[in-house]
Amino acid sequence: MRGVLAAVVGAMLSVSGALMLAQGGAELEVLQIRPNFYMIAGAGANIAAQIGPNGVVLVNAGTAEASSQVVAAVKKLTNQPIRYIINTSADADVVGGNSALAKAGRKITSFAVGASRTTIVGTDADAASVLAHENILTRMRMTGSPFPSSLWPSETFEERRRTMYFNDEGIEIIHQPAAHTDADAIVFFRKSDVVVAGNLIDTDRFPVIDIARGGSLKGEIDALNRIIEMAIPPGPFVGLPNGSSTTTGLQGGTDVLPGHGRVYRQIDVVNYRDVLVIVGDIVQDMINRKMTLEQIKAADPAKPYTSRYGATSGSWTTSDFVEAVYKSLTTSTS
Amino acid sequence: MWPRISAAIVVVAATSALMVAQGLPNPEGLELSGSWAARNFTDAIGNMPGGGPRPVDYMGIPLNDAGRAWSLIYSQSQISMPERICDYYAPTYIAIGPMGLRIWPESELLTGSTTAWVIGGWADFVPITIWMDGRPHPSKYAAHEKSGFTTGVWEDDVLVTYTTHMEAGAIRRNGVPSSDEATMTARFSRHDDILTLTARIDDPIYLTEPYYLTRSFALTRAPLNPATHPCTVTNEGVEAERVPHYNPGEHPFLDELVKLYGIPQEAVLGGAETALPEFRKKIKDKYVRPSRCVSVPASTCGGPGTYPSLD
Repeated sequence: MRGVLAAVVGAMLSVSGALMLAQGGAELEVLQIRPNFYMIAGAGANIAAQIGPNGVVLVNAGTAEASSQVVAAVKKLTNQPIRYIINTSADADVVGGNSALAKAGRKITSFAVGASRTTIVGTDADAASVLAHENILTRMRMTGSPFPSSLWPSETFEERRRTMYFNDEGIEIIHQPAAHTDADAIVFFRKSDVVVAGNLIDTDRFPVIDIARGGSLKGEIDALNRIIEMAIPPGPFVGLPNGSSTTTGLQGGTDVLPGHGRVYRQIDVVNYRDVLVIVGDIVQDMINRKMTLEQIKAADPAKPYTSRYGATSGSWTTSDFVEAVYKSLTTSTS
Repeated sequence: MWPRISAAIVVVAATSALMVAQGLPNPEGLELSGSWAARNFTDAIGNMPGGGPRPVDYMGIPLNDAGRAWSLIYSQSQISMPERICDYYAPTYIAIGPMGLRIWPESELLTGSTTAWVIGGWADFVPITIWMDGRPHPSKYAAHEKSGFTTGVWEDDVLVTYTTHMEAGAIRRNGVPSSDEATMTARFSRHDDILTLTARIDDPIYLTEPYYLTRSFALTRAPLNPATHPCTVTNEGVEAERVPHYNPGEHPFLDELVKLYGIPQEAVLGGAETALPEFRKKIKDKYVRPSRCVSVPASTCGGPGTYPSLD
């Protein structure tokens, strides 16, 4: 019994055992998700870090301004080099640190060698690989793009699903067309049971559906449904007090790391998805009643959720969200 | 080093035992262990098994506009969504649910001091661990759990607990929401074999002010089973990815209490003032006492002569 309790205590302490790093700029918080898996918050978009004997895989790079802090944070976690940086979208808070983090790492330049095939060949001159869907590179290369070529991915893929095996773990990178943008990817660490959702989810805002960059309401809902399918909720243990099988809560469950905000569980993604479905249904009903966009905005179709996800100022307001929903629905129906 | 620590442990344990033996206040509070059967009166009446609350009955809840809007688009068919069938209630359910409590302590090995109190689970409710060892609450970035995260301290003979990191849930069984930013402060007061729970729910998202609930429990010799069982999703008629809800203004039970009992809708839809006695005076002239009860089944009328009176 006490052993079980100690395990629960240990797990909770490790999860809550955040490492605070403040080095002049923004304050980073490093949250341990699994024994070998961390989330670095406060550097722009959340950064996932999978750490193992083969090196470090980062998902997203944060902003350029915070990159030196991120490098320092990773070095506090391990002396292994950064090997891969996987981008989940072409947003500045996702790709801004690509160059600096890549330069702090080392690329795997050859196959494993030696009798045990455990030696990985690299050179100090190498930089880590930046892996992304082809649409991310396309967006970053567009005329007028704010991203210099030094931030571009070094390796892209066009297929819907790219897989790799690294640090004794299968990793899936799944392209989600027309969601937040047309260049989103979900990254699933199968053994760690962690899904990195990137900017498909912002736990404190309505999702940014960037119509101009190929996003859509339906694609965003599809992407969230995809995450819900991949994720498994925590499960109960059956037990009695003072018995050897007792537990004091649920165990396990997939962690979903959003682009911004706290770690989600599957039910959180369901709640977030439901917001989109319901607001979409309400706006569709208003469209069917021949209401104009301005009339719909005035009717406040997102009212049940504005106190949780809404904003009246900033880069993504409730009005922006409702307009994106409206445009998604009118474009698809036309 | 060890002898010094051991000596300290012995002194602490002995002091505690002496204080209890002499009838002095125990620094560890009162004994809460046991099975506590629900005494479903006070605030539990509206949440009892069977009838439960009407779909649109928000009286006494300090809802803000968003909370009211959320409640009025909510369909109870949502609990039949495949993604929600096996979902568990949030810790607020100990204040609004119908079940009893089974409570036991977790003790530190050497000193015997209580490191945590555990409130056992239910078929659809996850056990709550109340940490008594002074540990901090998790980071704002940490995942929220169905059990939330609860710490406790003794204030004289009252166990005061504070719960954060809850999942979104409900504060009335008709779906009135609590957000994932809600917190709960609970006070467990024992008077002989009666345990009184007073819960204060703060929710910056859906409430304008704290919402208070009380429940009572009686110590029972019949043990309650605190197991939280595994759950299997079955088809309850809501296909995957569909989200049952009502569009604004279309809730079919919007005026149910108005028709059944003549209660003005401004009372039915809740708000902070609906919890206060002064509000009865405000709506006195708007209340029309029905000539007969038209509720179905008739048993929900409450019997002859039980219509509410504002006199």
